[in-house]
Amino acid sequence: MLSINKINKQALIEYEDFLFMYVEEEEAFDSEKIYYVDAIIINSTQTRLFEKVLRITRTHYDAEIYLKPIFCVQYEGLPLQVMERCDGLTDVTQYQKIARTTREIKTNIEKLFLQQKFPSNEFGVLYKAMQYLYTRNHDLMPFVDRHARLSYTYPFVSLQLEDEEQDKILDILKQGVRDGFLREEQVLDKIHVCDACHSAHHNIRETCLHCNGIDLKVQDLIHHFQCAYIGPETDFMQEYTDDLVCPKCQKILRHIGVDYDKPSHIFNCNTCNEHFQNPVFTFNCIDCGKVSDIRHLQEHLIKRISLAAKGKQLVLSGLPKKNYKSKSSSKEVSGVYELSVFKNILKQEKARTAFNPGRTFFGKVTIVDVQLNSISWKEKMILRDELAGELKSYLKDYDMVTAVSIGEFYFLKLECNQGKLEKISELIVFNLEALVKSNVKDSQVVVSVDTQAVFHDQKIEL
Amino acid sequence: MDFIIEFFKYWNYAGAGKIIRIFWYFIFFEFGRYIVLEFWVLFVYWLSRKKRAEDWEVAKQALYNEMPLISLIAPGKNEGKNIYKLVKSLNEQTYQNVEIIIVDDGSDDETPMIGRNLEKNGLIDLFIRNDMRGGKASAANLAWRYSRGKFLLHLDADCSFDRTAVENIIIPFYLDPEIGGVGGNVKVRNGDASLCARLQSIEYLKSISVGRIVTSYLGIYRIISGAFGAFRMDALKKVGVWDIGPGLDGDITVKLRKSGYKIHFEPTAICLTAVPTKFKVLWKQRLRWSRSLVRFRLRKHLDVFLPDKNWRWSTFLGFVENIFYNFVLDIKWYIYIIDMMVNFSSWIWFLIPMNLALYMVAGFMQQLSLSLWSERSEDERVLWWYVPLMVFYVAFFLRFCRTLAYFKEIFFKASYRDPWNPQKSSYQALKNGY
Repeated sequence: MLSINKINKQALIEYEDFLFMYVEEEEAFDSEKIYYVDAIIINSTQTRLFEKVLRITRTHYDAEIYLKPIFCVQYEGLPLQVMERCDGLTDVTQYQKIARTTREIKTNIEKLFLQQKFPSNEFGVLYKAMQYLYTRNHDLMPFVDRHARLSYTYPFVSLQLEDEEQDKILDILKQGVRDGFLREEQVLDKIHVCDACHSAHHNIRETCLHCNGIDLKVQDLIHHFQCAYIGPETDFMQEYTDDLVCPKCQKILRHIGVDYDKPSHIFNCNTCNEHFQNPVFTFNCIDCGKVSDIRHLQEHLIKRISLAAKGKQLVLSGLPKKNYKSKSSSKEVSGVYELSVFKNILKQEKARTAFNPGRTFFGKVTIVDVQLNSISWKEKMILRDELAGELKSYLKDYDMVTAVSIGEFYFLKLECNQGKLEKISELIVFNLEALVKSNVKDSQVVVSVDTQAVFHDQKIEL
Repeated sequence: MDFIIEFFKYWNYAGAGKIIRIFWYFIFFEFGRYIVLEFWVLFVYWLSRKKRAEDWEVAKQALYNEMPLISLIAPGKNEGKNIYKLVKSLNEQTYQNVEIIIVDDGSDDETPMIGRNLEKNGLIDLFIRNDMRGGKASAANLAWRYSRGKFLLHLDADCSFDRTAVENIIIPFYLDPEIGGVGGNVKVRNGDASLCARLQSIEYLKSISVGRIVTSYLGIYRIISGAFGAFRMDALKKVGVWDIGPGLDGDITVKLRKSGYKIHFEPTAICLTAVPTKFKVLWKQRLRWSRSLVRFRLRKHLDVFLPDKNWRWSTFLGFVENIFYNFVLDIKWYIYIIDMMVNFSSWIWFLIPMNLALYMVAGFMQQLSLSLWSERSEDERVLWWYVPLMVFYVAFFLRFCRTLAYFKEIFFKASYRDPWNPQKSSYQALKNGY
């Protein structure tokens, strides 16, 4: 039974016992409603709309959202990055097929242990990838994507990381394979990435051995058998005729293999006027401009990945508690500093913002929970370190965190914008609350994050 | 014992007239040329040592004032194992304004890999590989084509050089501006490898180290060795660089002479080379070398005997000396043997020991002059023990080899079928009279 309703431009389709969100226009897409629907159907040729829907759903912190099925109505010329990343191509009459796929995915999602806290961001990405593979019941097949930094996009997984972090995908998947959660199935390609920015986009050039110049001219060498003269083709060429004439004995070269041959070639560099036979191949990174030779590029294999039995077991039963405690219980988390050190860094950062204002943010995380008083001092210290580590895991390597007490943390987020910061804050609130709840009995925790841009003339109370 | 007494009695009774009749070949041609003439020239050369040393210093100063770029070229095939040693030796030279060019003439060993590596690491300036072999001359011509120096040094890849070799081979160009080419002093590096190599060590010392001082002094020096020879770049261009070999080093020397340039031998420019250690290999090498006498002296450059605008006494005499001592006397030797067999057959057992004794005495006299001139006389002292064997080596091994080579070249033009050159080149050379 099919019924179509529209709420504030957003079309919703009821079919059997499923509710599908039907998206045709970017303006009509209501992201709030994705909580209530079973799947999303996109009927548009706009790649931008598809990207938007995909990013909002797949990067959500809630597993039921980020694993939600997304379908596309098939059009001729639909880009590969759309086709490869949706859960099926369809047409508007194939609701039965959509319903069947949705049911399979939903059934699989229901079997999952909805883990919400991970020892690290990277493990979170790996875990989500395993969830995705389990619910879709097929392998992770990377596809060529000229917009991707690695030239390959991994469906679902690529979206879990920021653009500048895309190179981590390969490490995350390799770690998954090493830990036995994933299995490498087939080598699809080999890529070479820049050792500075990890981009696989290069301009490959033949360059001069002596000056690295690119203005090269290659010529055949001609060997005249009769007099043993050998030189570049231009030595033999005439100004007004097409004849080849030997500059040594003035004989006309008539027949290759009989009078002469071309035993080799030679390059001439028009920049430094040097000659050589073997130019150097240099790789000019399109993204960062670094010039390298092949020895300095990092080689990676692109492989089809499947979910191993151990990975399947993990997503069904969830992480053992000690696993996601292990890292955060360490007191030496990189980027977590003493308050005094943090204050000094903040001071320096304020001075720096005079030249680069509006890109650095100071954040204060407040954790309020009366039940925290019921745990021992030692447990409080451990939990404080865990919370600091957890907080740091949602920030970059160069960001800084300090723990004032179990209820108060400060962080400094560099090179960021307001939109990103809000997203990160949302994640922090959700995950810190989950961490406190999993460690404190009857917790009624409330986590809040207050942020402000740092300016050089601004006073920040600590 | 009785034989020795009889032997001395016989020669005592024979008298000077009969001795001259029997040993005319040795007395007039060999003793006169290789002992009397050489000792006289070396003595005169020694007397002029002070003047030469003064001129040398002036020329050296002129070289260092100008500091011209010198192109060092090493064309070759399957020389991979020698290239690094060659380059190392060149990098040690006292004269450093050089460019090193190595041409690989279609090697099927590891030469391309080694050459490219040396080029990439800046140890040589240019490495060119011909995928199809064109022969030694074309490889040398290719190196010349990309040379930028004022002077060009042609080197064999299996050679190594004294630290002053490059400097010393260039200085003569500043002694006399008419000099177009300078030959280096090639000595044997692997002399202790075998008897064959020991004998060649003595031979090289005699025919190159000392022999060429004499011919150069007399102005009839005729071969700038391909292993180590220097040329003025403009002179090479004028004579049209190298033609198809074998024997291209002698050929280009004649071409330079015919174009009016002087040729000089420099004994202090020392190069060490590896010689064949087996007689079988040496036999093949000498067949190839000897064939070039017929091909180049008797065929291609026979015009040096005809008076024209470039005719010179020195070139003419050099040719005459070369042809007479290497070709005419080679044939004459067989006539001499027949003469002895026919006219002195009953005394042959006295003739042979006397002949050997005369050649051995001459050999030791030559060895004495070598040790006086050589800068490595201490190292070469061991060669004295091998001097008696040189009689057999020169009289029989080298002579038979030469005779066979002349015969094959005169009647069958064997040099055009020598695998040393690719067939495509040899065919064209034969067809067009090169």
